[in-house]
Amino acid sequence: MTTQQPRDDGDMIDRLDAGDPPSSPEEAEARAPYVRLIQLIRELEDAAPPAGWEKRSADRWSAARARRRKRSAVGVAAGVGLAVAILLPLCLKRTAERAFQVAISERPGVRRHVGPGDHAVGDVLHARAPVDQTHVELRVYLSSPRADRLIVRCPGSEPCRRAASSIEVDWTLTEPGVYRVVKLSSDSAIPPPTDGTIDRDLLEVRDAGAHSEIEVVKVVQ
Amino acid sequence: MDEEIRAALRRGDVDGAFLLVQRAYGTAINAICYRILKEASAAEDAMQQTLIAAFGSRTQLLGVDNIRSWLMRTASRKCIDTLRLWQRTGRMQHDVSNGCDGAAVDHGGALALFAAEEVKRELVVCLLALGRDLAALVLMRYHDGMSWEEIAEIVGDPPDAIRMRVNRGALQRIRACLEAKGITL
Repeated sequence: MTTQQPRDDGDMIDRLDAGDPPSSPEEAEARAPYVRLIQLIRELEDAAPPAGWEKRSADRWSAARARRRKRSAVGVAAGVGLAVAILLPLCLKRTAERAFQVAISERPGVRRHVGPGDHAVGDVLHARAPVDQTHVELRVYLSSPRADRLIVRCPGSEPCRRAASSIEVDWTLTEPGVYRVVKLSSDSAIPPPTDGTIDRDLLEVRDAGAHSEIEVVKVVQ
Repeated sequence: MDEEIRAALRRGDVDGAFLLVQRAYGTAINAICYRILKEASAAEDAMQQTLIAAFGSRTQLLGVDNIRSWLMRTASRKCIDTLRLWQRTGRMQHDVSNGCDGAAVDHGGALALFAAEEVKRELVVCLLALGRDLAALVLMRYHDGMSWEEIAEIVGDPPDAIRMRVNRGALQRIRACLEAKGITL
């Protein structure tokens, strides 16, 4: 194994600087003054900045922190606003999905002589009841000069549809009268319809502890 | 000190951590910036920027092994940026001293050094005798621990050329200067 000998002081300092070990006792001895010199240079103390620097630095830090906090607050407010803008429609949609809904679609081409809030024969009733308890029913009662009767019971009637989380029905309003769309819900069994009149049925249902919601649709000729 | 800083950060005391970093490393950061920028106000500004940047996020310093080295590198980068800005805008550095004069002998201020002991005061005199630019190179390498590549980026010369100026010129002249003053290393 051969060891490289430094040619001069410069070469020796380069080897020292590179972390190479001395190649001989003579080199170690020759290096010593430079080792001490470098150690002295390393030990020199840095002069402090002009008086008051610590306060100036701390003041600038405080100002920077305040700006950051302000930006954060604005960012949080913007974030909250954005979240509300995004989540509110979703919440409303979810709320809407949870709600008992009744809507009427008008049949095109029908001459309408109905007052505000009234509907015409031939329009279609759309009802939707979310299944939010173990037992849910959707019923439509018609009160007319001729009779009071139950005309739709879901589930059970032909036009009823069962979706994943709701019961739905579309029913063409074929005669004038007052249609009462009822959603019944309970964790225990809901009593079946009695003689078909809404008043008696609702009494039975309430006595059984079920909950009822009613929407009224008035249909004219 | 680094552990104290990290402990303050871990308990969420960012202001306390800032003051600890400032106290421990503010002077060194300022000195390295002064040696690069040669202006007291610009050096102090760069030092403040470095300290604030260190707390850009609360957890930044928690992931740093050697806070002093990290700060020094950050400071030198900021100073290089400042130098480049000055070059783009045509601004000249205000070099207060480029030789050995009485004021510098007293406190090493031209190199942002403070030497209380006799030998170190003479060392500062010999450093200044090199001229401020060459002395700054010696200090960046052997006092601030910067690599030749880092120094080259500041100076704009090749690393090997700078190494030769320092190792094959400056250190031998400093040794000769000290020996002429009766100081044997």
